[in-house]
Amino acid sequence: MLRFSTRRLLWAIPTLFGISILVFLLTSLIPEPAGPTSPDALLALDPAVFDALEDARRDRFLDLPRFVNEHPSDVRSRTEDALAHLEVDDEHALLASHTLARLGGAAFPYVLARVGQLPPDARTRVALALAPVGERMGVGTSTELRDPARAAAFWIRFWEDRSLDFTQPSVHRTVGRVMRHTSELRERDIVEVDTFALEEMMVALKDLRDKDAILHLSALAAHATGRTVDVPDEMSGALSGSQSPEQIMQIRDGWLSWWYVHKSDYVAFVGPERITAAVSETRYGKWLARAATGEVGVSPIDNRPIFDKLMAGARVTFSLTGLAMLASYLIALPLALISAWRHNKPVDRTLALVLFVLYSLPTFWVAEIFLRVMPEGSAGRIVWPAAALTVASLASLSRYQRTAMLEVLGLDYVRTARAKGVSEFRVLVMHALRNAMMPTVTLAGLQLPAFIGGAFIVEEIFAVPGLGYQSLRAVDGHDNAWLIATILLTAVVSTVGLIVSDLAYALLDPRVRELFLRREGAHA
Amino acid sequence: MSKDLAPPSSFDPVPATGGVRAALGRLRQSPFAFGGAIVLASFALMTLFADLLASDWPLVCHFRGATYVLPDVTHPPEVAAFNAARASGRLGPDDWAIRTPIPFGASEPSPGDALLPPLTRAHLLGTDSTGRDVLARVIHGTRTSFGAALCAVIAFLFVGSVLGALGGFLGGIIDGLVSRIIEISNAFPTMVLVLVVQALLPNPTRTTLFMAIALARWPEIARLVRAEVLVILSQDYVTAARALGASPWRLLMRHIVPNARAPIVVAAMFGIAQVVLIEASLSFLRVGVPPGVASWGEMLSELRDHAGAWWLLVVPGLAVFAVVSSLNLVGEALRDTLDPRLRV
Repeated sequence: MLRFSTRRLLWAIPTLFGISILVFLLTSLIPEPAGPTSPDALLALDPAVFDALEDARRDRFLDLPRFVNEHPSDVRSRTEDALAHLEVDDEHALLASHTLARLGGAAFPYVLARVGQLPPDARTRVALALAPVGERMGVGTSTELRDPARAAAFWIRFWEDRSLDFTQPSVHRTVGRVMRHTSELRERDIVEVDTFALEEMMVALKDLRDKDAILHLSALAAHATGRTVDVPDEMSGALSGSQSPEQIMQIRDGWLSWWYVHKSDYVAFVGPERITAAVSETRYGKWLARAATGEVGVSPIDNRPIFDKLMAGARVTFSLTGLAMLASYLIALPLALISAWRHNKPVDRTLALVLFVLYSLPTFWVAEIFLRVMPEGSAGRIVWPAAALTVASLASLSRYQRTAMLEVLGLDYVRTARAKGVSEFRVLVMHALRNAMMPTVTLAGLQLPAFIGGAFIVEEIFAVPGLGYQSLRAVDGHDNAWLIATILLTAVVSTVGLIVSDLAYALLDPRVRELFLRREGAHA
Repeated sequence: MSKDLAPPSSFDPVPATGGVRAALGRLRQSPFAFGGAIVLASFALMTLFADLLASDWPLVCHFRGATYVLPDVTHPPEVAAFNAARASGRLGPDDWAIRTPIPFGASEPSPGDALLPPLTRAHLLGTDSTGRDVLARVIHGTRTSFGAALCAVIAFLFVGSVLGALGGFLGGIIDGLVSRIIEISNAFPTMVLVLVVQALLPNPTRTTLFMAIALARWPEIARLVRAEVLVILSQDYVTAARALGASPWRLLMRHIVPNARAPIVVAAMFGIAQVVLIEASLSFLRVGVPPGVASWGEMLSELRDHAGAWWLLVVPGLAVFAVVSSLNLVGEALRDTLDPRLRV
């Protein structure tokens, strides 16, 4: 049994992997954010429009290749790329200076260390591109930063004085100090290293519970990145002190998911990261890692985290599914027993007819009838939807079980039992039903997707706020992230259900284990 | 592996007996199945000739000195004025027309006639919320709910059979790959997959709907065909043919294809029934066919705004039931003749 279980569980890994790839491919169906794609058209855009478009694309990792990233870009390669364009002053130079301004302090170790080696006019262009960063950091005067004659000299001097601040240990200490006790002076220290402090700040944010500290860090990060926080409640780290704890947590999570998308702008890949980046810095890698941690974003419909909504919906849907499944079995098995007992008698024929009719009726039709006969005031309770789903799904199980029963009743050991004088009831229940039940019970795993699909319909008709009901709202509200999360969840749950039912079958029937381990094709 | 643990119907299979032709011959002996076949045939005719049964346009008309046959099909520009002229009573004394049996189309709304119960003002089965004739819409809905479903099933039968047969016949890595794809696709609830695909597509149409359904259903067929091919390959006559030096191609065409054909036909019957139900359910939830396309499920969806209009529940509901139950009856009769072991 142990060998079988391990093998079965190992086989589930490629399946889950395949599911994730299929769902990932589904995300490609979502249209890309509208906007120009050629560099020329991009250059003509207002920087703010350009940034918004860029963010919309990057939120879905559209800037990354699908599966393999041969040249993952980090802050170093982005900076070097921008410097190269500025050096020859080609048509991308404008975009490059915009990029340098955005990367900010995090790029300094790669810009300022090299700026002295550039030819004088390129040096000036780079220095002027850094002017917005200097203003953000509050260093230098406006003439020092904006005057072409002085800018380059200013930045070279700046780097001579301050390069020690732009090291990991130094920033670590600075952020630690701000976390322990905030003061204007300590916050200035962070402002003066600009985006270079982001990594340390995000690491600190991750485990932070303290409300004030979160707001302070959020304000500092917003200052460095120019990110206006998109959660509507006067976020952007407004220190009004009026936010509820949930809003504070939303601010924190907003920053963390932003960091997840934009990390490579501010951090250089070192050591093994440079190798794994080929896989992790891809659309699929980023998407999968985010989906696996449940960080699936915020619903555009009601601004609630999709993960929380998903869990609430899943609770409803899966209790509905479980209830209906249980009830279907509890009804289908006795019905099959009666049919087999009174084979070809009027009872059996009537049952067969009723079940055939049920089998041919759409689930939603049955549910609509239930909705009409449901007594007043029972709306919102799960019993009626579950009953509708049960009745709609009962027929196939019962018909299947009846066939299995009749088959078993024709076997020799049943005849032996009868010949020995075992009572008919005992023959039916102890001999026939027990053996005929086994495959039907394990059918549960295969039936699960069908039951989930049925639950989607029933939920909508009875307005039960489960996954199906919410999904149809998501269709109306264009909440694509929800739809993707839902299909991933239902597929994974179905797979788990299948594994559980396979394990149960193998536990009940040793022949299945051998069959599986031998993998004998003829019995597929 | 789920396919190894499939329900007993495929667990201990017996070879199919008799061909499709023999099965169809025996179908006559079962009155229910014969009735089902007749119902299916009439729906198929309805699909083909929907425009001749129910249309805003006349079958033949004489207008301003010329006679036009089937203007709905040929669309001569002169006839465009005919309906307007008739509606406003400005037809000349020589003008005449032979109308279709149901003189209404499926798409032209007439707000004045909204939600008429059956047998009022020439609307035999009433009208829907925008005043469209229910009977005409049921007839035209056949094209989506039955005709398009049929096409989808033929498409995924082909893909599923070819891939399943390849997997079973070639074995090895290809078989492993096919089995894995089947297992992966089986994990997705059909309803959810089709719903999500339709919702994510920028312009969902009727074609994409049925393509999505086919995408979700083909693994079922592939699984069945693969299992069937494996069973046939283990038969003695295949071993004998191999011993006689039959080439793989001959094996495939002479032994496997003829023997696997019958179970595929049975699966097709149940497959169409499934697709009809899925399409109806999705259109009922208004995520199936786009607005404006007549389909039974889309007609039933009007119920959700007009709960009192019982004929909107009954008429298209009965159409769905008639098609699905006929398909199930015919499918079961075929299965019983082809595979007597499973006879109930």
